[in-house]
Amino acid sequence: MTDTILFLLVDGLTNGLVYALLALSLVLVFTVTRVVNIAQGEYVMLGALTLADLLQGRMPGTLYLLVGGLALCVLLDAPRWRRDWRRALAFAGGLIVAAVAAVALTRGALALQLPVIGMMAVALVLVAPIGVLIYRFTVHPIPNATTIVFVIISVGVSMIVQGLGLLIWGANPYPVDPIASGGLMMGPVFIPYQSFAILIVALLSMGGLYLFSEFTLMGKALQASAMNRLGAQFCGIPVNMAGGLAFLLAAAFSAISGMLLAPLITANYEMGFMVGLKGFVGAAMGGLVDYPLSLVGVMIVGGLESTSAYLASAYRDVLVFSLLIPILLWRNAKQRVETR
Amino acid sequence: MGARATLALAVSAVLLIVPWILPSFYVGIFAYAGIYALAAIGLVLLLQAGQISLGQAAFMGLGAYGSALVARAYGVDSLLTLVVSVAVTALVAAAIGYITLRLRGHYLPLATLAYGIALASTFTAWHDVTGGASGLDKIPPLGLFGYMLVDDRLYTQLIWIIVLLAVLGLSWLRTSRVGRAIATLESHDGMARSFGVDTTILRVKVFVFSAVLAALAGGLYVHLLRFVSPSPFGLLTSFKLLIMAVVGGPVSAAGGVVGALTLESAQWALQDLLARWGASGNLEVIVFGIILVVMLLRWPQGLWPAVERFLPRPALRSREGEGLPTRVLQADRDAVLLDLKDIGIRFGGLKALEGIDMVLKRGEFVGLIGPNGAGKTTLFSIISGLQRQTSGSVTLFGEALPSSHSIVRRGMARTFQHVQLVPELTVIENVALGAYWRTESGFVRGLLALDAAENRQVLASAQAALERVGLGAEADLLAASLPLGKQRIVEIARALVADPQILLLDEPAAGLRFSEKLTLVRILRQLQAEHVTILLVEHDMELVMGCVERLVVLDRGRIIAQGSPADVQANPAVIAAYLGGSRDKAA
Amino acid sequence: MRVVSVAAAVAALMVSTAAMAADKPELRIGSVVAMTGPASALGLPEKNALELLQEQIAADTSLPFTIKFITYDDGSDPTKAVNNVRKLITEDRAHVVICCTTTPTSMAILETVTQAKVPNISLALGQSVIEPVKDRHWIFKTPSTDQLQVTGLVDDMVKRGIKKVAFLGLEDSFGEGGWIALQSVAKAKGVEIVASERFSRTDTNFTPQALKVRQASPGAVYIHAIPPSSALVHQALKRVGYTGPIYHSGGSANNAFISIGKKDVDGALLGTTPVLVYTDLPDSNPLKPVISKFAALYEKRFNVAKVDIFPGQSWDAGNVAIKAAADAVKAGAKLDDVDASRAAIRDKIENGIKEFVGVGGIFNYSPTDHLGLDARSTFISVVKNDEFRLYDAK
Repeated sequence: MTDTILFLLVDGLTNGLVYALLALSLVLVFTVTRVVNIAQGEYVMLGALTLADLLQGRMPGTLYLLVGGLALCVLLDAPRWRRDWRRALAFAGGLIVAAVAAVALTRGALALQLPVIGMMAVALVLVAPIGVLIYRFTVHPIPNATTIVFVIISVGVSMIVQGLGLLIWGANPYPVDPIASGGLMMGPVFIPYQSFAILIVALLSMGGLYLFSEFTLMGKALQASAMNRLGAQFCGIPVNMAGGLAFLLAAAFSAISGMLLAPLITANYEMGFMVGLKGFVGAAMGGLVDYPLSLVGVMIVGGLESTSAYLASAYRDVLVFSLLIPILLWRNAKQRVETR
Repeated sequence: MGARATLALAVSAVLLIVPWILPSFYVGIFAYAGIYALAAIGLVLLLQAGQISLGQAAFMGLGAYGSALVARAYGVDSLLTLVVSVAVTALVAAAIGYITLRLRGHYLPLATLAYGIALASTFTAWHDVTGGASGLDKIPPLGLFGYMLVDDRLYTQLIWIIVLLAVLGLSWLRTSRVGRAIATLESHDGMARSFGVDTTILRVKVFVFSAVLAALAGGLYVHLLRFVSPSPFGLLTSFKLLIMAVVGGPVSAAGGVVGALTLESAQWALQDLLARWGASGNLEVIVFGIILVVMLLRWPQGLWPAVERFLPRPALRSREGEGLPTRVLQADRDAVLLDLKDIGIRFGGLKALEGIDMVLKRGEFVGLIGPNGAGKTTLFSIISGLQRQTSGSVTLFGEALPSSHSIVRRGMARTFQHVQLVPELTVIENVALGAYWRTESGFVRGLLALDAAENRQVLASAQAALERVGLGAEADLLAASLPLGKQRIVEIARALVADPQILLLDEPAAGLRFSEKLTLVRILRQLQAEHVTILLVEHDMELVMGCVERLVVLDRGRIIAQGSPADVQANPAVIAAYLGGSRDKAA
Repeated sequence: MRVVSVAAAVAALMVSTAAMAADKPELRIGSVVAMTGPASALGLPEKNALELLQEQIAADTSLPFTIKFITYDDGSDPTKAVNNVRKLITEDRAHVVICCTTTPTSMAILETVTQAKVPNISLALGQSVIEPVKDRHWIFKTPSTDQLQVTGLVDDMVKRGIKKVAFLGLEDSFGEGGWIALQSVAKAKGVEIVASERFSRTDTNFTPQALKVRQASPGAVYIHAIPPSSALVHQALKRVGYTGPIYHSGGSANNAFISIGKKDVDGALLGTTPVLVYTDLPDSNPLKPVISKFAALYEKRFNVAKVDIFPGQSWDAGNVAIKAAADAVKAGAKLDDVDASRAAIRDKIENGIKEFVGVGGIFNYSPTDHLGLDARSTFISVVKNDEFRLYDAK
């Protein structure tokens, strides 16, 4: 009995940590831009598949997305050419340099055959900017749209990115090497080192975000925009900078989560969406605005998922997603004071 | 009959003939397009009400499984099972809606996503009953008393009759009492409640109706395909329905039909094109995603407005005859109508209001003034029930303040500092909202156009109110097209239609031209003569001093002076507050 | 809308004149497979094989007709499958339909092809697609059934003296097919099912189900899933300390299974079609040359290391259709008379395909058997040193 509980706990928490990085991304994006990003899980997929490609010595298909996105950026900038061609040229030049640098970096990494951690860093550099690109394409043009419009847009983004994932990588799963193979027997329970790696990387990422937002100017600007968009704007914080930054960081966190998850379940084009949604269920606990409560939420989701898979495996998704209802009711009760 | 109605009839006739002349393959597509249109129309209504559902397909599934399983297992006539299954879905939706629709903003899409997935998973997991992922065949066709509807063309025609009826009903609803209230739900919740709309219940009703359309679509689907499995009721279908609603245009039920037809034809055209180019089907999802994003970025109103531009304008609803009966107020000047005792409110550490004691008697005309940020608007929000005070009590007509949507029923109406008109409605429709609490035609009466007599009375009253404030000629313009000053006057007209005993005016003169101010003053004097009690917040001192009998001065959340205009003007504390010197005094 | 039908008529006319110009009638083989959606891992290879067949057959001048292949995607969605099959039947006027990849889609189109009287060759596993045969007059299929494969595996369990088996399967129609088959076979062979757990392709954690299964202490575990989850569940079983034999369905019979499962799946037993183990077959086995040829073609054309079982299914379906059509034409059927030739082709599939050696086995269709395969076409394969090997020489 104890080993059952131990097993369920270890795996539930491991999953919880993966969802935690997602929840973090979701809260970050929501607080700064008011976007409920249904597409957040797709970065999980991009991160995992990019890493899979790099580890197998292939140029990752993510480069198509990145370079294509940068090109589209230049195209969208076209109206500026007539008004101010110098800056437009500089902008286009900058993006071209970025694209070339991304390709060069990838080639270099492949040539050097970096270890897993190194490849993860490279994959991160390739995936995170896609977050900014998506911000540029879908949020930046309509800064004052309602929550609902952003939700629908993110549904579209999810369809596009997942479709592109299938197009680029196909339906096959790709095995991914763990950061450290092997594991540890703790009593009756075998815990793979990857679980520890997930714990460490997740904690480091969260710590990093904390340090970044508390101790850097950019981080503080981000916090300010999260608290009060308009106010931050009046204080000279460009809203688009803050929004782009939020999307960048969120993409990075989700990609990390994908790279940690991939060794456990392989990388494939449809792996991200559900993970993203489970991150949402957890983040709902904190109302999409509260980091610590979101972490509690994802741990509950991980634990419940694990337990319900054990007790009634056919109904585990029903149970996990039904959990949202009591969570929301609880949130609602908390909010009650504001209106009658 | 109006030109628009004639055209609608002609289009309907064409749509009903189409199934009989199409090649049989296209009949199938046309039938499914109709089914999706029905579910998409439900989504359009939801979007109009500022709601969203990422689980619409799950309700289709409930309707489908409910009807199919019972009809298959017990041999009950499938038309009956369809009706029952739609009714059961309505109950489920009411329960889900009651829980989730209290949630505002960003929770709602998540909640709909969650129950969408939970329901779809149940269809798979409950293998013994639903046939699981493999599905169940031998679902009986639609039938009643032994008659079986097996002719695909006839079936398709039936589907489209239902679609057209839904569009017709919703277009009737749109101009009804409830329809006007639905239009407020997207972004004018507080205003709607101030005029007596129980927005929570109305949201649930909209949600239930939308689920009913989905369930009906699901039932029609399953007896047409005669095979049921979970995959058509998954997330992807919910997304597809959303795309249809967005592409067609979430502004009119007809948009749902346009969207469904567009998307279904696009899908088949795309498939042919992709097959010809030898590209695999993956691109389809990507293209749909791009369509969705681009539509929302560029044409958030969808295709329908582009179609509607070429259509004749809809006939206006009649506003002839008598308006609603109005009450005559007594001249009992001693009756205390509104009594505030020790009101305080805190936002976090900030005390926005503290120790406010104030009384309004019948027929009084009281001005509430104070520098910006003194707490005037917050006090208004508390009085009109939109915000709850942290301490103290509000008594209205001798009773505790009821919930916000019941206040207008007791006889208190208000205007808003930030104009709260629904931009998509015409001026007269906005004004008619004021009479919401005085009328009772509900959702169903609106759908079936059984509200004609009452609606005529409401519009007559609204027209009269508009003429009283000098905007009779602008009645049929869109509210958004009026300049801000006139919009404020429309707000007053709307409050007048509510036939109030107490009128709360929040900066009604801001942005008004001189002539408009004169009109305002004239109306205020008239109202006073009719013994209406008025509480006025205003920065235009000349106007305030010229009208009110009594002044209350707020500064930093406290009342610093009360009395006749002359006394207050002479009060040193007031002078200090307005000149910015009050800091020293308060300290 | 009249315009549409006129246009269709004109198009049909042009098609037929084009065919006449080539001096040979045209055989139209329409297929609908799941190129997208949950079953795309099966549907894409199936589409590839049809493409390959088209390329191969183009060079073949010995046939009494030219062949046009029309392939659509159903996105694993029954509605789309039905509409596409209707399109094939009424618009493209296909003589034979090959549809569909999954059991639900194949079930959904039964009504359509039966009413239109068009022979259909399904690529789904489910037995219910072709049985009861009297209701499935127009339906055939090429993939081995779950029933056939599970029978082989359960026989092996019985031989080892195993009395209790636990089931782990995907919660989609594929997994369900396995569950249904195992239930009936186990009952017939007197083996008790002591646990039944479900999971999905996108799950991130399989330990709880594995744990539950281990605690039911079965003598063997049967996993009915496809990679990655089949391999991941296998690993999870090892991790929670299960040491007994683990059987898999043919769904795991591809290279991803080994590359994901690595050492953990060593010793896994798979019920499979001959494709997976043909190299281990004795040269005397008639299947060996046929599969070798197909494998070489497919692996070269699509640049894959080793062909798996799915492309062979549509390849066989295409070949069966062509063979039957050729027989029908030889017997006097006129392909231009679409309705009559559809019926003629159906009869030739049912009665003319005897000892037909395909990639998936040796087919003998008959009025009582629309699967046409028998025990000669099912094998058990074992994973040994990262390779699928033949488990017991038949």
